Amino acid sequence: MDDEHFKQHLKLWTIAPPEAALAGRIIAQATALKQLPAPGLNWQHRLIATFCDWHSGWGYKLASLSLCAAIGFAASFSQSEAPVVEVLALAFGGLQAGQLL
Amino acid sequence: MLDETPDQRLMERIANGDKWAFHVLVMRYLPKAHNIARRMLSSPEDAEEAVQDAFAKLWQHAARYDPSKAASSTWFYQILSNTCLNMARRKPFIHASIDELEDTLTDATLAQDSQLVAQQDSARIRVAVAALPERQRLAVILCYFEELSNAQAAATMGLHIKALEGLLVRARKKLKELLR
Repeated sequence: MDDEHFKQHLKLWTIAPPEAALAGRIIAQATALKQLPAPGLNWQHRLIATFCDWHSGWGYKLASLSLCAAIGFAASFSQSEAPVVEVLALAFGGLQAGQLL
Repeated sequence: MLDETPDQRLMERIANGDKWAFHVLVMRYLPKAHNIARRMLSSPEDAEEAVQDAFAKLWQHAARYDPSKAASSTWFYQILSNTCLNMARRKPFIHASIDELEDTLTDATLAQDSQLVAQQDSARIRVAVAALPERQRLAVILCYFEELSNAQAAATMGLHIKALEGLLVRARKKLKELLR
């Protein structure tokens, strides 16, 4: 049997077409999944979503908040003493703005 | 009409989450995808699972498709082929010998009508193709059953065209022995 006849002979093996509902199942199952961004755009997309979408990027948001709190707390210790400004004197011109008691 | 939209345009729309474009592409690729999976895998359930997986990957990764590298159909059949190969390795065919098969079919009815002969031939070919190693089987399915060109089949399998031809030569030799 030459190759052409051989290929024709193989085609005796036929396959029944897929059931009609298969396409619908495939579409429903696939479109329920989240689409992934193009490579390279991954971190930009996540960053934009973090700013624009309130429920996105909770990890980053909490980390930023904790960092701000920690910086504020540390700064409060490093400050020697809070400057006291005589408000009334400042208001009525007894002191120049910025001048401390 | 979306039905006549080129595949590449549909892929762009799918990447932007267009479900209707995905529907059109599924209807376009499903018959061939189903045939490939059904011939590669032992059960209809596995074939259906492989096809579903491949389409799910197409939907999820549509934004990663690069039209400069391959046609979208080649890209999709690449995904499907890899899914089928992985599944075929996990769940190998239960090989029946061709002689056993012939006995069963002949015993079913002794009448040698043309339908029985066709059935017998079809079953013999199915068993012979199933007996091939996975990559040879895939090469035969793509080139001889689905009539992809050797270049298209090589791209789908991620092979050099010479390597694909080598697979086909070995597959043909083995199939001819089995179907003698």
